[in-house]
Amino acid sequence: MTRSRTRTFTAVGGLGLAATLLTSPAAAGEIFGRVLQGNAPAAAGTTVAAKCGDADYAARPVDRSGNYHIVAGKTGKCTLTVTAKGQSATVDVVSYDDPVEADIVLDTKDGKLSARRR
Amino acid sequence: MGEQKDLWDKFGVLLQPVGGALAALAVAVVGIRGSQVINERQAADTNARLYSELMSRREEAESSLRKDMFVSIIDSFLRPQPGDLGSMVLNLELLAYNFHESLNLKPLFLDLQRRLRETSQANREEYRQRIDRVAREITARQLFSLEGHGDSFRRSVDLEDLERTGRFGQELDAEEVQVDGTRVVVRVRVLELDRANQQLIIRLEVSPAEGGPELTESRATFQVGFYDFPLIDNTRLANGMRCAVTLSAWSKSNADLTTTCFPGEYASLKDRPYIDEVMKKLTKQAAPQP
Repeated sequence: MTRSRTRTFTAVGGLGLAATLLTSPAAAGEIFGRVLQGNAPAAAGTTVAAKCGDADYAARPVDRSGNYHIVAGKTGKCTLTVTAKGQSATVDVVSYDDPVEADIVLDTKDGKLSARRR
Repeated sequence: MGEQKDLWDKFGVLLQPVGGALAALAVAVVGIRGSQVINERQAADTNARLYSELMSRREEAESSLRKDMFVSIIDSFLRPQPGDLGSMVLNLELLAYNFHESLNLKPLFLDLQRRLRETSQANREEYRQRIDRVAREITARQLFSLEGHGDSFRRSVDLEDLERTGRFGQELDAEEVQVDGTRVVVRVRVLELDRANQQLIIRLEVSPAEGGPELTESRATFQVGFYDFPLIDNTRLANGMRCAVTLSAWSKSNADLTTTCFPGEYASLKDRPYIDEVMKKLTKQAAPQP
């Protein structure tokens, strides 16, 4: 009885561990950086979303210092979409096996938001 | 007949001894305070001397230790034991972690990389990963410290596109950077690709920014790989500024470059400033502020 319960726990534990390892965010495809408006951090409410190949990664707000962090889990070309004050702009970034830093500078010209990598 | 004394005479008689006493008191106060100030200054001087003595002794002890360490490690590279790649990797790790601010270790990294490529030892992949990890860690550390004193930007290179364009290369978006109040425009053109060694040949061009001070344009062509460390391998510009380009990521289709510009005084210990640059800086510091 005790032995079979131990076996069950071991099997469940093993499956749990395997599931954790398979679903935990890996370093591959990690993109991080700051979103800046001029030299200042982007305003509160600014969000960054990513699209890498056919995978979409939901928009997440930047923190008070304008930092964002996306674990795409996929390497290759990605498009980051920055949304601020109801407008959106995109920046192309490449994600690698190693984490990649991509600071983004926002600019508004003639009322239109644009973004570029710094 | 005695002369009639007025009020001022009476005051004079009363104040004369008081004045003397006050003068004596003032001399005593000035003397005590003066000796206190002198004592405090002497104590501060003694403390400063003691501190600098302790620091220089510590420096001396550390320099001697580092010298011994350096001699024994470098010896292993100059007289390598055949097949002892494990020791070479360990020695390179020791050298890199302890001397990355004062030595250009690229030749040793490349030599070890070549040896690892030629060997058939089972753990050569593990060794390669170890030296790559050291190189990336040191680059990241140096970049982190330099970015605090300068300005930087990052760009991605499309390697497949670069192969298609051939010798015309690929121009990356220019960026305006500001170092010590001087604004310059930095342009990077990637000219060639060496996939086997994960290296790029690039041309760095630095020109004055619009409305900025007049500066001589600088242009340099060099190789950039994972074993080029920004503190050591940087380009000296005409105004004492330095710019370094480092390879921060590599994949089959892309590479990421980080360009950092920083004041010359943060360059490596092996890098000596030009005497005229030092004089200019000293004159600038000595000049009265408007």
